Amino acid sequence: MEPAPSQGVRPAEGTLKEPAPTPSPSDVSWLHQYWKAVVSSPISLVPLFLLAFVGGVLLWASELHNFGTSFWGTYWNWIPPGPGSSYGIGYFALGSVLTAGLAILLATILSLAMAISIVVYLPPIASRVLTLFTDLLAGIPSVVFGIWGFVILAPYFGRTLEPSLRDALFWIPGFGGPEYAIGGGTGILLAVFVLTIMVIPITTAVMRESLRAVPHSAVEAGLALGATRWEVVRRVRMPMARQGISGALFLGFGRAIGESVAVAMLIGATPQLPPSLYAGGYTIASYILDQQDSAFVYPILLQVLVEFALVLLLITLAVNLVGHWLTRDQRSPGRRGLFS
Amino acid sequence: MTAALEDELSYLPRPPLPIPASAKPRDAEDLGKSSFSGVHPMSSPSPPSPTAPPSPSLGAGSSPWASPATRPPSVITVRELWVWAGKKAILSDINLDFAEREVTAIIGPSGCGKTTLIRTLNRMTEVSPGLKVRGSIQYKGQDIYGRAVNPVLLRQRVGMVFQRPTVFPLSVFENVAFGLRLNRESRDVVETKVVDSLKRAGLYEELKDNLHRSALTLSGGQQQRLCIARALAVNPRVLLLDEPTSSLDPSATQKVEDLLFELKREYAVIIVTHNMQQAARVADRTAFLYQGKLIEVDETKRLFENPREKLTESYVTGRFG
Repeated sequence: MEPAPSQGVRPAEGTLKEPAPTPSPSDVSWLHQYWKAVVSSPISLVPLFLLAFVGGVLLWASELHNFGTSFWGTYWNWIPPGPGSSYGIGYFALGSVLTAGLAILLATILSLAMAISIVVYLPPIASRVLTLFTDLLAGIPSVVFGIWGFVILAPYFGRTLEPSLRDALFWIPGFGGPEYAIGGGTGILLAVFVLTIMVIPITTAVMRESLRAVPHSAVEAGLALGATRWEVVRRVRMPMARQGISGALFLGFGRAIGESVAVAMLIGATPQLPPSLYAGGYTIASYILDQQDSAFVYPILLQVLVEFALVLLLITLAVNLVGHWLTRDQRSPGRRGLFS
Repeated sequence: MTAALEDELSYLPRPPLPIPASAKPRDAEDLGKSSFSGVHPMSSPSPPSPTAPPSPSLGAGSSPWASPATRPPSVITVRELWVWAGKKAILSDINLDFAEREVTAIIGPSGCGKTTLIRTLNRMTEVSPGLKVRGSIQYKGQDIYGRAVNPVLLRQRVGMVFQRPTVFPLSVFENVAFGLRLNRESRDVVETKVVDSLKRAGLYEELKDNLHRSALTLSGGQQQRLCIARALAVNPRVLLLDEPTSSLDPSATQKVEDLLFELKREYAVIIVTHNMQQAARVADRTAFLYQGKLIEVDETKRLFENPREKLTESYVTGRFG
C-alpha cells in the first residue's frame, strides 16, 4: 500500500511499525487537547476549579467597600458599625507578622537541628522514628493544639514561665513590660510557642530533604579533605542546601501566618500595640475566625473581614510561591547541576 | 623510625606505634648491617633467597610484595588486609607497599576491589556503612586503624581524588582553600598555599586572571585538576586517585597524566585505573588485582612485558576484563 502523502516518509527497511501519522493542525489545538484530557480524567478539572476560585475572588474584591487609607492604619473604632466607624488592619497585620515571624525563627533553629540529626547523625532506626514523629505532628488538627495550649500550657505560661522570663530577660525588648500584660498566660508568646510546634513538621521535612539531596560525592570530597562530620554539615551540606532551607522558611511562614484556630484560642484576642510578648494580640486570620458571628449582624464588618481575607490570601500566595520556587530542585533533583 | 610531628596522626602527639612483628621482616637485623643500611626496614623485606628461612607471616619467599631493596622507602604498608561486606570478602589477604616518590597503579577488571583498596588507605571505607576492614595498614609506621588515630588528620596526609570531579559550588579560590579553612590557617597562609597548589596542579596559568570565578564554570579536566590542587593544599604525603581520568577527554587526560609525573617528585601517588595503557604510561609499579586478590605486583615494565602469573598475562594482553 502506498503511504499517504501526508505521511511522507517510507518506513525504514526492517521496521515493522508504520510511521506515526502527522497530526492535522486541528488535532493539536490546545483546547482540543485539553478537552480530551478533561473528558479522560477528573484530575484535569483542578485548573478549572482554580480558575473559578480566582475569578470568584476577583468578583468579590470588585464589590468591596472602600475604607480608604485608614484601612492600612491602626485606628480601630467599629462601634457602632456604620458611618463614622473606622477599621485599620495595622494591629492585626502586626500580630500576624510578629507571631509567624517569631514562630518561624524558633522553628528554623529546631528544625535545622532535627533535620541535621536525622540526615547525618542519628542511626537509621532513630532517624526513621523521628521522621515519623514529625510527620504525625503535621496531622494533628489545629483545634487540638489550641485546646492543649489553652488547658495545659496557658496556666504554666501565666504562673511560672512568663514571670520568670520577665525577671530574667527584662532588658531584651519585648521580654519586659508591665506585669499585668502576663495575665492568664494567653498572649503572643503562647501563640508563638504553639505555632512553632505546628510549623516544625513542614520546615523539618523540607530541610531534611534538601540536606539529603546534597550529592554523596560532595560529602565524600569534604571528608576526604579532612573535614569532620560537623564540618561537612557546616561547609558542604548547609551551603549546598541553602536554597531548600530558605524555601522551608517561606513555606513554614505561609503556614504560620494562615493559621487561625489555634491562634485564636491562644493569643488573647486584643487588637493593640502589645506592650510585651506576654500581652494579648490578634492576627488577621484569628480575627476573621473570631468575628464571623458578629459579621452576620453587621454587614459592614463582613466587608472588613472579606478585605482582611483578601490581604491574607495575597500574603500567603506570595510567600508560598517564593517557597515553592526555592524548593523546586527537590521535585527534580536531576536538575541541580551543581556537579557536572 | 621516628615520625615527624606533621606525620603524626593521633589525636594527641604520642610516640609512633611499634611495628607489629607480623609486619617486620625476620632478617631486618641483617639488612641493617648490610649495604642496605638506612633503608626503611618495612619497605625492604629481603629479596627471595633460597637460604633465608621462609617467614611464616610473609608467606612464601616469592611473596608478591617482595621487592628489591633499592626501592625508595615505603610510606604505606598494607599487611594481610581483608575487607568484608557481610559474608563476602571484597579484598582477601592483600599485602602491598607503596613507596614515596613513586606512582603505583592498581589495575584489574571492574569489581575486583581496586576502589575499595585505595579507600581503605585513608579510611574512606568508614563512610560507606557495612564494610568490615581487618588487617594492618601502616602510614609511616602508624597503624591507621589504630584507636588513637584521628581519621581527619590521616585524610589530610593521604589525600584523595575521585572518579568524577567533585568541586564544591564555590569559587576556584575557595575550593582550594577548603581544607586550609578547616585548619583555620591565617589569611596569608591560605593565599600562598592556594596559589602554590594551583601552580603545582598546573592550573595557575590558566586561571590566574580570575581565581574568584565559580569552579562550576571550569571544564571537566580543569575541575579534576582543581580537585587535585584542593587535595595538595593541605600538604599530603600520599595522593590517592580513583580513576581520575575516566570522565575526561583525551587531552584533559593527557594533562592529568603529565601532572602525575610532576607530583611524584614529592608525593607517593597511588592511582586506580581500568585503563592499562594509562598504567603503563604513568606508573613505576603496577599491582594487578583480580576478584579481591592481589595477583601480582611488580615494576610496570616487567608486569606488562614479562608477568610471572598467567592470569596477569591474560589480563594485560586483553584476553579478559
